[in-house]
Amino acid sequence: MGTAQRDAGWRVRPRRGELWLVELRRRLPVALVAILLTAAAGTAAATAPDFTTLGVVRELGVMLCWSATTIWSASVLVRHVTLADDALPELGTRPWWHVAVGKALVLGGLLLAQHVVTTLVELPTLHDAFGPDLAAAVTHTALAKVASLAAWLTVVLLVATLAALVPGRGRAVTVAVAGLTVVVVGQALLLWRTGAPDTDTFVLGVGSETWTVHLYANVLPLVLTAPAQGVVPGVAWLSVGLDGVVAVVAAATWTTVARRRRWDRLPR
Amino acid sequence: MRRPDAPSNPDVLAVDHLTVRLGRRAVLDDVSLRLTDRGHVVGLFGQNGAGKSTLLRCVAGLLVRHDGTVAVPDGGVALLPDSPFLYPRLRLDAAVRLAADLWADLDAVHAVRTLDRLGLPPRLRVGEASKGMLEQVHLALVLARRRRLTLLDEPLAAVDPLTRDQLVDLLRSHREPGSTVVVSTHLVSGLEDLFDEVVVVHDGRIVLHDEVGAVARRGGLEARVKEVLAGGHRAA
Repeated sequence: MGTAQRDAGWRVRPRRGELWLVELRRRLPVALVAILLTAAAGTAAATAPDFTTLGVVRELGVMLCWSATTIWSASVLVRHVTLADDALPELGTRPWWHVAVGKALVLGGLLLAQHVVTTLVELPTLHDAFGPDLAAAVTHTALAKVASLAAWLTVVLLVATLAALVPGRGRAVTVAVAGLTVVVVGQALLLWRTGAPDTDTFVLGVGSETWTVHLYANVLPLVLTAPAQGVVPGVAWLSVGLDGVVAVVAAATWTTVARRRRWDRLPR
Repeated sequence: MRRPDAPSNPDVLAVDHLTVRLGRRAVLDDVSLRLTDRGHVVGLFGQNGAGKSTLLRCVAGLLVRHDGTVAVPDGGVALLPDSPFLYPRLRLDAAVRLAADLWADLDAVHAVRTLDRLGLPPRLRVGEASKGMLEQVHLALVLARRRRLTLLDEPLAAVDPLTRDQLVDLLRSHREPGSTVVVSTHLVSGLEDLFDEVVVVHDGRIVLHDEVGAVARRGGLEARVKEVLAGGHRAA
């Protein structure tokens, strides 16, 4: 860089990972709002543990924040992959799939941060439920969440890529939404019929009782009324394994599809 | 010397029988176009909706659902799309850094020199820039890419006359022997001396492709373009 540029205040020395830093800054506000809302609801509930309403508010807040950020993460990837709405990377020399992986990693990191805050907020409840087994439960919770997010983000990438092959923006988005719904519901049914075939009831959300320790059908939190077998029941490991398999299969399929197929990278 | 040496292939751009459909409508209908002269600035004229943007996007490889072929023998192209692509919260110096990270072919020093010459402050946020400034920033970044073929989609639209003159000066200063610039615009008046070739698109077809000198001899660029658009000549 010449003297004139330095004197004029231009600091443009290329930095490694500039794209990811910018992407992180672009996505941080939404994630921060979700994290702060979760933390606020959790703190309020913790200061008055006997006030049932605050406990309900905390649970609702956590659920709404998770739902919102889950849909938001999918929309970011669908807008990039399916709709090619982010023109800047499309005009560049990096392949679109490289940018897509970067966006997914940034989103994954922010969603994990949100999960850490959610777990901290829920620690008192978890402590009551698990007592001496708290460490094992929290470790499992972290593992289940990582597998769940990996399954979600890879499936979103795959479905968004397949939807991009459909002509027409409206139709492509419809296919993406339908595809994601089919995968998540399919995983939930598989988990339910395989893990707890004797029960006819389940609820959405994450339970903290020993027999409902954090199950995820893809990104969907699920509580199956299954019999308990230790602090981390077998159905919970099934949930982790299923998400892990889905993540690997989705990633492998996506890699193949993304390499072989081409479609319009700017809206007509 | 910013541009690499010229290859032996004579064509800068070869478009053959290009057809693009949007639903049942043919946005481009059997378009063929050859640009052979390096160092030329080509004016791509046509009314709104004529198919200029679609043609440029096909050439840039961003639209692949089409019939026919597009060949850019010298390699990739630099495209300035017709809408802003920088994120509003970026400062201009960060925009140059980001573009350098995304575009391996960007000459960041060239971009900064141009922005500095235009008097644009490095800490100005994209979202705070006026429309004219925004067009200057986008144009400076795209022109700083080391590409033999640069496509500019409506860089002169919706800016005030003073800014338009600055943008035209910027285009003139960018003229280099080894690189070709295609400028899409629906404005004709006052741009005669900027272009070497003129291409007119009408209803998805190329109705005129000629040297500006030849067009000027037949009554001037503006009159000829208007005549072609009004009469729908098939002079390509």
